[in-house]
Amino acid sequence: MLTKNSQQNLVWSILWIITSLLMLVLILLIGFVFVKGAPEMKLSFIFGATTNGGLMTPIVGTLYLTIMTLIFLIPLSVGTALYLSEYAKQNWFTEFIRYSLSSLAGIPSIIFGLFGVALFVMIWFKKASIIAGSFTLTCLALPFMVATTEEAIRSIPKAWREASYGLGATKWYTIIHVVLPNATPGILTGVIMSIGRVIAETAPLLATAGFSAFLPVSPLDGTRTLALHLFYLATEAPTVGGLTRNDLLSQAMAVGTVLILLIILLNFLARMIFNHFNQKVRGFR
Amino acid sequence: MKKNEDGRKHKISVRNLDFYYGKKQVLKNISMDIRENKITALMGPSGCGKSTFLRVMNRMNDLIPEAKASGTVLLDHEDIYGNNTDVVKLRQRVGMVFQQPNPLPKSIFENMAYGLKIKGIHDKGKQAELIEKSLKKTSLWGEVKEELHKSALSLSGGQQQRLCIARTIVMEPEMILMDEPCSALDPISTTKIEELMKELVDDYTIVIVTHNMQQAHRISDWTGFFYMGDLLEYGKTKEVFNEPKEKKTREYIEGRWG
Repeated sequence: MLTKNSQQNLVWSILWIITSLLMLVLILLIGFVFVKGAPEMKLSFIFGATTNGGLMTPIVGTLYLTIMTLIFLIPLSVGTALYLSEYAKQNWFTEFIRYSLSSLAGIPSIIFGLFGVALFVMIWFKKASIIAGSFTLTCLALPFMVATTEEAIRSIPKAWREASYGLGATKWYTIIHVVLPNATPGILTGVIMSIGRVIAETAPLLATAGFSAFLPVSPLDGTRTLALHLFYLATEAPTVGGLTRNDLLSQAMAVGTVLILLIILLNFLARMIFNHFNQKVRGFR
Repeated sequence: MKKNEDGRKHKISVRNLDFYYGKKQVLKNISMDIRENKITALMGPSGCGKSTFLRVMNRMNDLIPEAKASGTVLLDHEDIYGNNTDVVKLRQRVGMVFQQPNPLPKSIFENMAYGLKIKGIHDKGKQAELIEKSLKKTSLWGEVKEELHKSALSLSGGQQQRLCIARTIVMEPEMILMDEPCSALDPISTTKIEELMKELVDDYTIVIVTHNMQQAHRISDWTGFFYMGDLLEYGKTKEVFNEPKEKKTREYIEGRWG
């Protein structure tokens, strides 16, 4: 029989091993990508023209697509969240909207890609382009953004709303002067998480964003994001410019490195904003 | 205007008020007159409807989707539940102080200016003048005049509640509704607020909901005793406390339950 103490130690050890395994997987994965990509991590590669094998177009394309997506995503999701949490009566219709949103959140991203091709590419814009891609990504990120924004709006204490109404403020005045300013950090956190999502996605963009290697100018130009570029590099047949399969793979790893660093940076940023907000609220109480 | 035996006019006249949250009736056939420039205390056990009744007078209950009122509530002979009532104007005339001090997460100055901006007073100089006056009235001026631009949430609980009172009177209302304004405060802050109420009653009609019988006894001129949605007894505070007519009131005052 084990004593109480050694039982404790046994459980502790098992849990420690499980956690360490998880860390190991993460370290292995990131380490592998970093090590394999390191030889290609040169400024001339990262900032070189993509027609010469550089990353300039995917970097610009990622930024362009992200900004375009946010332009549509933020007003749509803040508007929807405000309607749902402040104005809508709780009835079958709002239930239906919520149900639709949570269903949307569970749909595989490739389906969004398919929908984007069918509607935005083939009917609206007649070509795979930044605008078609950003519309598709907006649809994809909308459920998450609405949920985050609603959460941020709901976290505003009832007492603050009452204070505002008690002084004769209308609902709209209260929203503009009390609700939105205090929900902004929460909404911003959602925005940054959405950016992370947009940057990481490939499936919805495969057939909607085009794959042009030239620097995009108009929103109707096609482009590629870092994630897309990585996909092309990893699947391309080794024909062009005397590059071998291995060269292309280590280029893909370098792109992966840039992508991972970006995501880590964004997560860090989101955490900073969230902590700042939390401290502010706690300091106030 | 109709006068009472004590020569005070009725600021608020409630007749046959029924109030529902969904199907649940929380106020039953209430008729009550609130005297001008007097402190009226509403007391009773939890869930008796006294807070709901308070929130009828500035229609704060409108925020609850299922709430429904019937009967008449006259403020200076105007039915506040009538079709022409501008709720925004009503809440400026009938200010409210809540149970938990609820300054907005803004500076002290911004808290005070919040209502003024709603009223259309945007001139900083005019704002500052009115704000100083109100803060002096609530004896907060000396404590905060150097730090008007600090967050209102950095004040102590008692200061926050006095700020909320100042924020209400800067609007120059006719009435102030107070929903257990001292229940979250320490005894010293409570005393300060009670003294303040006694000063303010010269200019305003005050209605206060309180759990605290001693407080009702100390500060109010009139007392209403609510029990399970009924107004069981209403009269001059001295009379209600010294010779209550209802058995339930007497038991409550003697502290047998509640």
